[in-house]
Amino acid sequence: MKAMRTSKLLSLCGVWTLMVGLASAAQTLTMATEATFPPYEFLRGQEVVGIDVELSRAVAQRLNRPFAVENMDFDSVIPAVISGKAQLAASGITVTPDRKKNVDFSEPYVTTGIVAIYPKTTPYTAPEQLKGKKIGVQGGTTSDTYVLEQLKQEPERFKTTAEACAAMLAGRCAFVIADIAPAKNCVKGEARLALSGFLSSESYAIAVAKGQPELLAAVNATIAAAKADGRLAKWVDDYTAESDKLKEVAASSAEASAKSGVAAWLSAQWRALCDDVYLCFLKKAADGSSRGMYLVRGLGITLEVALASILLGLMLGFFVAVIRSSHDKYGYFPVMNAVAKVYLTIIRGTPMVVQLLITYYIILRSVDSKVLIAILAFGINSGAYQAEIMRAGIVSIDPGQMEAGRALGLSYWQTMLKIILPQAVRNVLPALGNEFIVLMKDTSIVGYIALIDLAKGGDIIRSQTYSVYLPYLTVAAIYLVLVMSFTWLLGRLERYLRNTGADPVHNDS
Amino acid sequence: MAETLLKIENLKKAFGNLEVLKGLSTEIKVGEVVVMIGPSGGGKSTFLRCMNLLETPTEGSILFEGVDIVKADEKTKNRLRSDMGMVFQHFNLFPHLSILDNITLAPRLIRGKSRAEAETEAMKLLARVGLESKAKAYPQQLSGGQKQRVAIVRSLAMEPKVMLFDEPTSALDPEMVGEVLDVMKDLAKNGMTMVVVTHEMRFARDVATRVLFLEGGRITAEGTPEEIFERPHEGRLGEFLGKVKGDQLADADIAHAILKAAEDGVITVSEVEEVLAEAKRREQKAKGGAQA
Repeated sequence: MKAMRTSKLLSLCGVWTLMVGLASAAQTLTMATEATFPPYEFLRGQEVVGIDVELSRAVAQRLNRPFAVENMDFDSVIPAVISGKAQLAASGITVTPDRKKNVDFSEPYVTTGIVAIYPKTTPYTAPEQLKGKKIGVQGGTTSDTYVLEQLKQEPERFKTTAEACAAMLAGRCAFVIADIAPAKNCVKGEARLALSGFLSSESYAIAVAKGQPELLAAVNATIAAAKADGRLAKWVDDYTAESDKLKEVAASSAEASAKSGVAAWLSAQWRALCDDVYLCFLKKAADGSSRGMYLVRGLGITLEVALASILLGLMLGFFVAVIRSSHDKYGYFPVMNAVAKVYLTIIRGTPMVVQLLITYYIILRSVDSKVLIAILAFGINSGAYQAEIMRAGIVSIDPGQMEAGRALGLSYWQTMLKIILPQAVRNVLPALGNEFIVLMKDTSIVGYIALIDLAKGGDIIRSQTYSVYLPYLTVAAIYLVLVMSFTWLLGRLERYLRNTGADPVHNDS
Repeated sequence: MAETLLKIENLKKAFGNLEVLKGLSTEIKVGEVVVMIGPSGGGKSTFLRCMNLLETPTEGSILFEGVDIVKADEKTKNRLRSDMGMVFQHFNLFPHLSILDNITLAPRLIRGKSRAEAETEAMKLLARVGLESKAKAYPQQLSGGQKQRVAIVRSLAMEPKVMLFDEPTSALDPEMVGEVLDVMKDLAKNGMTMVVVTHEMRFARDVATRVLFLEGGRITAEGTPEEIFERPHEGRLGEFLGKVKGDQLADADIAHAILKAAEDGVITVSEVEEVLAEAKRREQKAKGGAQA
């Protein structure tokens, strides 16, 4: 009896496994990575390439599944496989006990280590030298942990190693600790920097969500095969060579320091700036588009997300404001009013970034369009603030306006839409405009869900060129121009309304 | 006997514990001009606002052409309201709309009229009150008297069966009272059914077919203007009439008469100014005397 039950159970399990297997066969195998870690993963034009990408693609081929790459912040890579947004996390991830608690790791495919990068003016000789100094690292990496646990101090955290190196050259930290590959990349062509020996060594492996033995086995088999037939070695050579070429230091900057005289210095600076502009924005990448296109496409995304969420927020805001003010004044819509109050409390009580991440990882997990996710998250957020602004506008309108509308035979909603809201909007236009401006700039956090907007576009250019000032200053300038144009438009609208209508202060009309 | 338009029975209205209307009953017949007078707080405005349900009565019934509007559903209430025009003390024009749009909004939204049709009718009505030149203006560009005339036109554009006036001249400067009253007199002459709350005793005497005296939430006197104004009264009504006769209403009448004379060319504008200045001096003197 018991035996029969077990066998039945086993056969059920078999069917279930088969079904899962069939279902997953058709599904895309998505790799989560942050493409700012050459030669393991980096952007070639719009395409993410590198050693990890080749390896993951080989896994997909082995499983006969379509393959896709998702480019996101390194901090999001492991959460992405846990939540099922991606199946493989391959981003030069070092195996650590903490990470092992949350995900399963493959056999290591590369063993590497962390080294110190130092300016040649203060040579590095022994690990004791690091103690008590300001150490730059890429946040969230093993270098970060090394400084915390081995040196027992807080590191200076940067988004990339290159940024940390730039900060070191600017005198903001004494040393930088980094993985050997990005460290080599930073030192290459930068005559002022040098590398130490390994401070510790570590292994990179691919992470998968727990409880997927078949997927893990396939990853391990792929790694073993790639090691055996020399493909892995070839990828390392090819991509190291390609990523080396990415880094181009403006040759003129070295010359500049040699010459003397103000005019020579100025002309050298001018040439350096021109070279920087060329490198950051104009130079054609492998796919024929220039880096400036990151900003152009990013601007498109920023505008799309900002404008659509402003509109969504306006509609939500109007609706909630009417519900709330109608309830407070006439006792209408008690249930909807309660819902609206919960909405306002939650949205205004939690940070925008957290709402964006919850929308992306939990609520809209199955939605593919990140633009849509961003529009919904920002629109719903802004709706709460716009609702309260609009409510203030509605409350400010003389009750006689509602009475006059109703006395003419208009319904409550007709009076609201045709008489109260147009006046309310005019009264709160400055406050609404302010909310629009805040929202437009707030969209710069969409990088958290791997959407490449204007801010993230600038960040990518910086990560590829190691030029810090120009990309960020340009991005800042574009935002400024956007906001100024918008403010100007709003000013025009206000003047237009003032000229056609009555002074909104005098409702006694 | 004309047919009954509004039949109000035992109407009561309370705001919280405060009972403002304590059981009012009356009938308003087609073509009647009913003027409600009485001391402030007597319930005149509340009574009027109950008639088109801007205030919901606590008890009693209001039959409009035989239909109890208190118990009607929301859609019916909206339809019935569109058949009753209302003019407010503070005009309540829509400041974001032009005069023409103020007038045509409801006919287009509710009566389904085309813009052209509604505007043609609006222009005719504006011409009737002498304001066709203001069609493109906005309410803020108008004087109080002009605003109130536009408000009357806005109600008339819905072709109402009855017009309710809630102290239509109380917020006006004295020299503008006349122009509004003239429009109202004209309406009455043309057979419009009207219910008017006012302090303009002369208007009540000249135009009303029936006068109601409201006090303490009840109708305490009712009759033709002759019965109310020409006969001596005891109690509150007598007191009230004695007070208003010597009060600002007389001044308003004089101002109206002077302006009329100026318009007709009987006296010049400078003479009017002289008279007004003299009146002011006397007023101040009188005030000073009262204080001393």
